[in-house]
Amino acid sequence: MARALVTGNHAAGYALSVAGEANRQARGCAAGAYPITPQTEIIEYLRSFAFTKGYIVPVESEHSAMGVCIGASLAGARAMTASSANGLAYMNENVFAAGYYRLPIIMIAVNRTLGPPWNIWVDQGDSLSLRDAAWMQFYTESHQDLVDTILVAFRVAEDHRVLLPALVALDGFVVSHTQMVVDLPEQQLVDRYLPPCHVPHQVSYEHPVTVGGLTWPRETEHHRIEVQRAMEQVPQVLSEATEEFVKVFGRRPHTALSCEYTEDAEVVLIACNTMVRTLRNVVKERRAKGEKIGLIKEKLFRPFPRAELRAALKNVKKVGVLDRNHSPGSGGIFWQEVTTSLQGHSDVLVQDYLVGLGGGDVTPAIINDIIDDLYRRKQAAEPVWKEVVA
Amino acid sequence: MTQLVEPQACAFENPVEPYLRTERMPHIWCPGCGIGTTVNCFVRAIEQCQIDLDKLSIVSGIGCTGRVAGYLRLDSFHTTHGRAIPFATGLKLANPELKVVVYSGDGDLIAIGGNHFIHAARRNVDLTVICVNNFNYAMTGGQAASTTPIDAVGTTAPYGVVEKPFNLPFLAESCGATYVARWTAFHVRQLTKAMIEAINKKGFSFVEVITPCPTLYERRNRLGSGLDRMQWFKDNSIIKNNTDTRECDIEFQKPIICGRFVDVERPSLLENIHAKLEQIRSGKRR
Ligand SMILES: Cc1ncc(C[n+]2csc(CCOP(=O)(O)OP(=O)(O)O)c2C)c(N)n1
Ligand code: SF4
Ligand SMILES: [Mg+2]
Repeated sequence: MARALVTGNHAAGYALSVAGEANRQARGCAAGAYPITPQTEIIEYLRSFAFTKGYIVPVESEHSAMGVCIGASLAGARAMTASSANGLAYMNENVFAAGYYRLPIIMIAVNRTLGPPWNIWVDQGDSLSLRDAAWMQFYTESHQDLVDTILVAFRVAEDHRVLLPALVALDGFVVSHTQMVVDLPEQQLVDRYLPPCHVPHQVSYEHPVTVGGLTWPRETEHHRIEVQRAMEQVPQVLSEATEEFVKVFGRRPHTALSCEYTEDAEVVLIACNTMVRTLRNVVKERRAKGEKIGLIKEKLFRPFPRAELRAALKNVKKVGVLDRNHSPGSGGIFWQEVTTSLQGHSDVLVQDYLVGLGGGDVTPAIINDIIDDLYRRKQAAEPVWKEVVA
Repeated sequence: MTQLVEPQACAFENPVEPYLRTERMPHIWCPGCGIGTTVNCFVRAIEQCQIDLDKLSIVSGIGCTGRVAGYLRLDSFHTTHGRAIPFATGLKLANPELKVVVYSGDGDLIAIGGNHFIHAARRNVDLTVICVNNFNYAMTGGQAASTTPIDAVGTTAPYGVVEKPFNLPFLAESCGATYVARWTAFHVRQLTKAMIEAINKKGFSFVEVITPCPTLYERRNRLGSGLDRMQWFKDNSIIKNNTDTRECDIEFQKPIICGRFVDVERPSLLENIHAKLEQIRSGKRR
């Protein structure tokens, strides 16, 4: 295992490249590359990597980037791309197509605020806007988490019980442009971990298929049900892929939900991405003072791990959800998922806090403030906007 | 280091200053960048055209060039990346009295927005399109674009480009543009004149301006500073009006053909719409 001090974008570029190279015994790899801050170094990395078999197409837009991935994946290549914010928005149509075609494409989403107004800083609203696109979604908190999740995502996506694309998100700048020491797994290990990619409905001379036909309502409904069934396979396949990861790389990656200090906790906070890291420190400090507080890191967002969440919150009295995103007219998107998961199962108080939108820092002071607010609350209210500057 | 001069210390106001949102200065452009030079020419062009400034609007996409919309003290729109032309088409059709100028980069107008460019030229929408061609996606850090010459390097083409770039004058002409010119940032007088002609032209008029991007394109390709590049433009531009646009390809470090290539009359989209309406009203529609 090679340890290196690298940026988040470098780490993501590396993980994608070794995964792509691992398919050289099969049809190689392909990607569409279009620049957008803060993702650009990932596609630059891919364009510089000397693949044995494969080509990274410098396309003219994100829509085409996903188009290339769809074509390449249908031809049996391991396909990948990366984007952010408005790039993801512009790609939208083909993102849905990739999901509904059941193609195991991996896309890195470096979270950035959707414009206008223009803003390049982190906000999860961009990737969450794709939550209904039949893609798995993973949210990562650190460079290592990112590398591990990318490799696991390929394995889960390509598993024939699943066959769905996966989006792996990381925080723009906070992870993408900062450096950390990361274990970057060597090619031989990745070759062992990732079997050659094989899409059962890939284009072949022996079994000609037409992809994307016209369907009647009933057939469409069946298609949607199949997608849902595939999503339901993810928790099992993910846990197998995680165990295999431990065997090959000797390290345990984070899974769907990470519960920390939740066994005896009365109050639990839920967050994703780098907010988890700040939250963890605050929770540790308050634990040291004897407070019964815990945290849950939400890594797998699609499919949403409802059963696991319910189990983790069984004895909890109050839950605070930190949302760095906003669905106008409703509230935080993670909060919507948490409340839906608990509906009819629990009378725990769930309060939403909208924090750090448009890239404002989510500081320990803000989180402490939220915890105090949660302690005082007798009942849940509408989502609360937290001032970013404490 | 940049010397900042206190405004009150200046004896004369810069003649282009009234047209700029000076409260937004300093601008983001790098020293030696050619975009500012083109803006200077543009301001002088609109001054010479004596346009009613209330009837002029500027539409940009996203990029270093896209910032032009934000720096001009005019009704200006900073749209999404690639979508300046459809936005401008809406502006023009809803308010035909407006002069609408699209001012954007090569990546924005020709790569991600290329589809709109060819269709607006085909329809002959009454727009003036100014394309600052610095041979790369500059704002995102110098990636190869659909205008980067073969063999030039960019951050997404570390070993050199292998794809043929667009020849913009030929593209514009073949899609139906009524006016097509190309100049470099060195040719400030010719460029100003071309901008005036383009603004006054009926239909889809197009001006390509080749500019230095010393921070990215020139640096990565070892072509020197912005000033070196201006000298190179001076020494390597061939001014040849009315050249067949098929001959206007740009090759890496080969001479660049400049001039006014197309100036023809063709009914604009609005004229065609009005003629059709007239036909329908008078019952003469076949
Ligand atoms: C849909 C979308 N994709 C990508 C971007 C990122 N982006 C911003 S500016 C730019 C390139 C601009 O290049 P160009 O138009 O040539 O302008 P220049 O900066 O070179 O003047 C890109 C790709 C974006 N803003 N929106
Ligand atoms: S990066 Fe290039 S195009 Fe952008 S401002 Fe600097 S020199 Fe000009
Ligand atoms: Mg450019």
